[in-house]
Amino acid sequence: MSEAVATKTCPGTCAKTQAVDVSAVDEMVKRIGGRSEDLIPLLQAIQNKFNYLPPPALERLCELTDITPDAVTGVSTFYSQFRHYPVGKHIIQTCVGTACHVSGANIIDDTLRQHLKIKEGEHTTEDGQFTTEKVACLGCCMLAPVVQIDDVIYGNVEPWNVPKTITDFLATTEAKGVDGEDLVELKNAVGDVRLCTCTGCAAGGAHEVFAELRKVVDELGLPVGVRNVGCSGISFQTPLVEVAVYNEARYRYGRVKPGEVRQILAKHFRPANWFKRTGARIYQLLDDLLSDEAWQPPTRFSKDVRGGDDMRYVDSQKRVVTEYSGELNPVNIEDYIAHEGFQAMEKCLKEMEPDEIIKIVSDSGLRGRGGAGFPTGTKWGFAKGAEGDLKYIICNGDEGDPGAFMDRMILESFPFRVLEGMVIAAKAVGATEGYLYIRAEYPLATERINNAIAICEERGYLGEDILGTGMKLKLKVVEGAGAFVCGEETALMSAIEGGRGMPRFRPPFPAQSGLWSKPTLINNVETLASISWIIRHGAEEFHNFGIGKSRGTKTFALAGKVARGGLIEVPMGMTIREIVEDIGGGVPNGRKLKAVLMGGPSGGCIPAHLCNVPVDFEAIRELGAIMGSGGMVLLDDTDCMVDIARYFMEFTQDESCGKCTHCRIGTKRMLEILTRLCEGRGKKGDLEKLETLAGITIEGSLCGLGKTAPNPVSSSLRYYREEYEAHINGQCPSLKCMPLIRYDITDTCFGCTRCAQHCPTDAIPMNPYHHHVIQDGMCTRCDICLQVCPVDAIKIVPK
Amino acid sequence: MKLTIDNQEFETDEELTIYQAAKKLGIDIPVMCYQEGYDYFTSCMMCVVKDNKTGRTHPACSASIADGMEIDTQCEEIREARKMTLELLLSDHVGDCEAPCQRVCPIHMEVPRMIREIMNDQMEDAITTIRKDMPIPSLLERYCNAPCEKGCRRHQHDAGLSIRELTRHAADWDLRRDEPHIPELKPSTGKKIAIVGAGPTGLSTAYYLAQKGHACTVFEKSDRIGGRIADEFIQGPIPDWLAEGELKVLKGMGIDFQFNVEIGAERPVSALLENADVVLLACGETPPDALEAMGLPATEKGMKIHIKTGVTPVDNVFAGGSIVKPGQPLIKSVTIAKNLAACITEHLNNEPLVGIIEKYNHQMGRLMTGELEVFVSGANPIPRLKPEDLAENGFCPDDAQLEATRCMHCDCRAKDDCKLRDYSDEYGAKQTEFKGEGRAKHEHINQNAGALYEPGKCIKCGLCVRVTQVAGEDFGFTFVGRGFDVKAGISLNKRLDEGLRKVAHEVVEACPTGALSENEKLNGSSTEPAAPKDHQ
Repeated sequence: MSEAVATKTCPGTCAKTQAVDVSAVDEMVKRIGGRSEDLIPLLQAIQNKFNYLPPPALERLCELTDITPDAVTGVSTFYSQFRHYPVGKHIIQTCVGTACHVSGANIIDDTLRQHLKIKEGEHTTEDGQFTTEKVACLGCCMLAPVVQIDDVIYGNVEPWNVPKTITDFLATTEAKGVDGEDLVELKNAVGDVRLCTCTGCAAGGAHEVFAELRKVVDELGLPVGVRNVGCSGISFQTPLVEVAVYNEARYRYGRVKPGEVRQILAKHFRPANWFKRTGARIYQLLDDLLSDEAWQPPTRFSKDVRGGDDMRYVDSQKRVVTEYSGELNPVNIEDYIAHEGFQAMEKCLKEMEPDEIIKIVSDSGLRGRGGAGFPTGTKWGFAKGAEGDLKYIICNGDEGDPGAFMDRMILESFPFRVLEGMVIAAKAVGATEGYLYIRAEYPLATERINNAIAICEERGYLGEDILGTGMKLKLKVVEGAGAFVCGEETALMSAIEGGRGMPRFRPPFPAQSGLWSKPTLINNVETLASISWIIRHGAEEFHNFGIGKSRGTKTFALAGKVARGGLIEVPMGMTIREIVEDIGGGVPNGRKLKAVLMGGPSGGCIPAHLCNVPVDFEAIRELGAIMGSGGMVLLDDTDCMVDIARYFMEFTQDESCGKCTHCRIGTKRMLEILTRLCEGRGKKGDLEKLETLAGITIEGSLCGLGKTAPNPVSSSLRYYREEYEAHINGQCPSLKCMPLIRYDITDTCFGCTRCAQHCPTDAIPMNPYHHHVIQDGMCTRCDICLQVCPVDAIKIVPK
Repeated sequence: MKLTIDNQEFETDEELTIYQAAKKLGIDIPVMCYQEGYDYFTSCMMCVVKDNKTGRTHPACSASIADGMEIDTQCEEIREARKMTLELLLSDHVGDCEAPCQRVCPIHMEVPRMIREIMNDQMEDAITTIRKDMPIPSLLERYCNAPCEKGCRRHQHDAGLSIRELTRHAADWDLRRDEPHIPELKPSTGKKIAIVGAGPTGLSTAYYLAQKGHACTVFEKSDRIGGRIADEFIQGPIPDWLAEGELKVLKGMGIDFQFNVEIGAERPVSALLENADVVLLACGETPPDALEAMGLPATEKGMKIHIKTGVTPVDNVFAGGSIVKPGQPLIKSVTIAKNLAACITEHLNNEPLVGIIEKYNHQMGRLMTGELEVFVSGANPIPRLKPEDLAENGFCPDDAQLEATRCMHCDCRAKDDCKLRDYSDEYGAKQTEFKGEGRAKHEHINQNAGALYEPGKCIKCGLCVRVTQVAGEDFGFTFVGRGFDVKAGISLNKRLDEGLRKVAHEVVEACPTGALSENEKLNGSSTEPAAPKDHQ
C-alpha cells in the first residue's frame, strides 16, 4: 500500500479529501530509524512533508516499524506541535507569552482573524492561504506583541498594522540571510562591525541589516570585518550594530534600519581606495539631495562615554554565563577558543579527578537554574555515586515559561559553552551519552547546537576520544514537540524515549534510574553554561557573588512594561528594584510600577512596595513568588492582577498533561472561576473556593507543574485581594477586563473621523466635524480607535 | 525495615509499596488507578496516606515503605483529602448511577434491570429483581401512581415506558404459579416483632423485616389482608387469587398471620410486648380513645409519633402509616414501611436511628442537545404499548417483551460495582462541590464490542491502556490528547471492537467506574447496527 486517501478532516474548515502518497514514510523510516525513540522525529518529518499527520501515513509508520499504534496515537495527540488535519499554506502564530499578553496579544489575534475573515470556531482562511494559531511563547518578549508567519517573526505588531504585516509577508521573498559566517577576515582590517542575528534580533530585522552591512562593505571595499556575534542582550535596542574601530573606541547603534547602514559605516571607515571613496561621496551627496530630510542618526551610545542612561543597562550587569556577549561569534569555534573557550574542559579532562570537579562545583554554591534551585554539586554527586554500566547526561533546554528566553539566548549565542559544560559534567559523573532537549519553538538554537556538535566532533572536543584523553561522550539533540510539562525531568525523559511527556512518581530519581532506567544527570542550560567560568575562575570567585545560599549570577529575561528590556545577567543579591530601575530604566510611558512577575506560570508577583527584596531563592519564595528560570515581567498600573492570574491559569491548564486528578480538574475549575471573575460573573464564595482548589492542587499533584500551578493565584490573592473582590462586584479597577469596560469618546473629539475609518467592526459611524459615538454592542475593544485618535478623545470607562 | 501502619507494627526486608505493606496487615487502602498485577500509574491520588513521622503525604500505590514510617491511612486529614479528590472527579463525571426511573421510585426498585429481564424473557430473574425491593408487587402495581413512569427519560422523546404494567405483568406471572418466588432471607436474628394491622404498611414492614431475618407476627382485626387498599383504591374487595397469592408469599417468608384479633382493651399492646421485642402499630387511622384502649398514652390530638423513625413514647413500640397521616398514596405506605424496617432493625441492634440512607447517586442533570438521541439510538423506536385489558389481565407476554425493548437503559451497568460510587458514598463526597461550568457530552459507544464504552464516566486512570498494552491488542486503548480534554481512546481512531479483540472482559473488570461495562447482548433493535461508525 503506497497510496491512500485521507478523509480525516478537521472539525472546522478544510473539509477536503487529499490524496496522500505514503511512500515518503518509507524513506523517512530509512533515514531516521524505526525505534520507539524515533517516534517524535518521525512524526515531525511526516508533518514537515504533509503539513499535518495524515492517518494513512501513521498507519504506514506502524506497518514499517515496531512502533505500536497506541504509541503513535498517544504521542501524536499529546504534543501541541502535531496537527491531525490539513492547514493553510502559511501558518500565522500569534505569541501569547506573558509579555505579549500584557501587550495585547489577544487583540492582535482577534484582529488577524477579522482581517483574514476567518469564521468563529475555525482557523483557516477560505482560500486555504493562512491558518492562525496561538503559540505559548516565541521567546522574543522584548518585542511584544510578536507574530510569526511561517519562519518570519514580526515584532511590535499593533492592531492597526496587522494588514500591513500580512502584505509585507506576502511581498517579501526570503529575506533571511545566511546564518553565521563572517564576511571576511581581513589582515589589514581597521575594525569590524558586529551584529547579532539570534531569533529575537532577527525578529527586529537583524537579517536585513546584516545583509546590507555585507553588501555595503563589499561595495565600498571597506577594510572592515562584518561579524555575526552572540547576543548582547540589549534587546530593547535591537538590531544593535556595534562598530569597533581597532585601537580606538567602540560605538553602538540601536534599532538600526538597513537604510542607515551606509551612513553608519561611512562615519567610521574610509573606503580602501580613492575610486571607491569618491564613489561613496557622490552617492552620499546624491542621497542627501534626493531625500526629503537630512539623516537623523539612530540611537547611539558609545561604550566609552560614561553616564549615558542606557549604559546603566550594561554596567550593572555581571557576565558569567553570557561572558563575551556581543563579541563572540556563536558559530565559530576558533572565536570561542580565542575567548578562553575549552580551557576549563581541558583542565578538567587532563588534570582533574571527578571528585575534584564536583567539589569545585559544590564549593561554588551553584544551584540549579531551572527554577527549583537544587544544589548542582550534590546532584552531580548522586549521579556519580549511582551504579550503572551506562550513564546519561541531559541538558534541559525545554524553556517553557511564557516570558522567558534566557535558555534560547544562551543556546543561540553560546552553544560551545553549553557543550563544554556538558563535557565537564559528563566527566564528573561518568556519563558517556547525552542529549540536549530543546523546545520546538527554538529552531535556531537547535540549528546552532547541531552545528556546534558537528564541529566539536570533528575537532575532537566531543566523540570517542576527547582531547586524546580517552574520554567518550556522544551528544544528540532532541527537538521537543510542544509541551511545557516536558521541562519536568521525568516527563522530559519520557519524551526523549519517544513517549507521552507525562511525569511519573519519584523516587526513583533520575540519578538512580532515569533515561531508559539508567542513571541520568539532568541540568538546565544556564547551569551547564556556568560551569566553564567556575572552573576557570575557581569556586571562590563565583561564590563571592551573591548572598546567603544564592551564589553566583543569574540571567533574567526582562520584559513587559519596562523601558529597557532584554537578557540580563546580574549577581545574586542585587535587589529587584535595582534591576527594574537601573537596568530596566523603570516603567515607560509615565506609568507606575505595579508588580514584578517572577517564575512565570509557576511563580508569583512581587508588589512594587516589596521590590527591595534581593535576588535570592529563599527571600523570593518567602514573598510567595519563586526565582524560577528567570522570566521577569513588569506590570504597570494598567494591568489587572485577576486577568494575569487567569492568563497563567489558562496556560498551565492548557499545558497540564492530564494525569493527576487535581491538576487536570483542579486547574480547570480554577480557570473557570477566574474567567467568571474577569467577565463579571463572579459569585460569592468564589475566592474561598479558589483558595481550596489551590491548596488541594498543590497537595495532590505529582510534578512541579501541578504543584506550582496555583502560585500565581495564591500570590495575587495575597497581595491584591481587593481587586478580586471588586471583580465579584463587576468592576475591574485597572480597566483591563473587556467585559467590564467600554470605550467612550469624550468631548475633546472634533470629528476627524480617523477612529471611524479604522474601526474594523464599523462600531463608530462616520460623522465628519461632529462628536463621534461608539456603538458599544458592536465594539470588540480592539483598542485601535484609542491608538489612532490624534487628540486622545477616547477613554476606557467602567461598563 | 520497621514501621507502623495505623499503629500496627510491621517489619520486613522486602521492597514493598505502602499499599502492599498495608495489605499484608489486612488494611485496605482505597485505590482506583492501581490494580495488582499492573504497573502503578499514580494518577487518581485516592490512595494518599500520611506519614506522621514527617508530616508528609504519599500515594500508597507507588511510594515505597521506609524505615521508621508512621503511616496513617484513615486520619481526618486524609479522609478529607480523599473526599475532595472524589469531588473533583465527580465534577467531571457524566452519567447517572441509577436511571431516572429507579431514582424517582420511592422504594428504588431497579427498574431497568427488570425491564431487561422481561425483554430477554428471564421472568424468574425479573421477579427476583422486583421482590428485592418491593413487597406485595401484584397489589401495589395495580394501584401505584407510578412516579417511575413520569421520571422515565423516554418521556422526553415520545412517551415513557409502561413500567407499572411491566412490573405487574411479571408479578402476576409469579403469583399465578404454584410456587411463587420467595425472596432471599438473611439468617434468623432471633428477634420477634409484633405488627398490628395487615394493611399496606403492616404487610410491607413485615416483608422488609422478614428479609432482614426477624420473626414477624401480624395481628389483623379482619379476616383478610389489604387494609385500606380495598376501601380507598378498589372500592370493593381485593380479588381472592390476588390476596391469597400475596399471602402465600408472605407466609412463605415465615411471617405469621393472626386474623380476627383486635388489639384493644382485652389485648393491650403491653400483652404483645411480652412476646415480642418490638411492636409496630400499623393499624391505620386510630382515634385517641382507641389508642387509650390499647393501653397507650394519648392526648386529644392522638399519640406523639416521630414521623421519620416511627418512635412512640412507649419503649419498643413503633408506629407508622395512616396512624400518623392518613390518605397517602399507596407507594408512600411501602416507602414508610421500608424506612420503619430499617429503624426497627437499628433499634434492635442498639444503633442510632437513621433509617434508609440512599447510596451515593450521581446525576447527569438536564440533557444537552443531541444527548437524547444517544439514548434513543439504543432503543426500539415503536410507540408506547398499553395492555388492552388493563383492569383484568394486563400485558400479554409478547407485548410485555416488545414494550420492554423501548427502554433506553439510562442506568449505569456498573452501578453496583463502581469504586467511584462506593468511595463517594463512603467518604460522603458531593457531586456539586466543585461544579464546573457546563459538562462533557454524554457518549455511548457500543460498536458490537464486548464492552460498552461511555467516555464521560472515565476518570483517566489508564488501566484500560495498561491492560490492552500488556495483552498486546493490535489497536488497544491509549490516551488521546492531554490535559483536561485527555481521553482514553482506541489507537489510530479504530472501532471499539477492533481495539478489544482479546481482553474486552478484562478491561471491564479493571475499569474502576462504569466507563467500560459489560455489553449485555440486548435483544433485537437495541444493539447498534454493524455499519462502520466513527467513535470520536
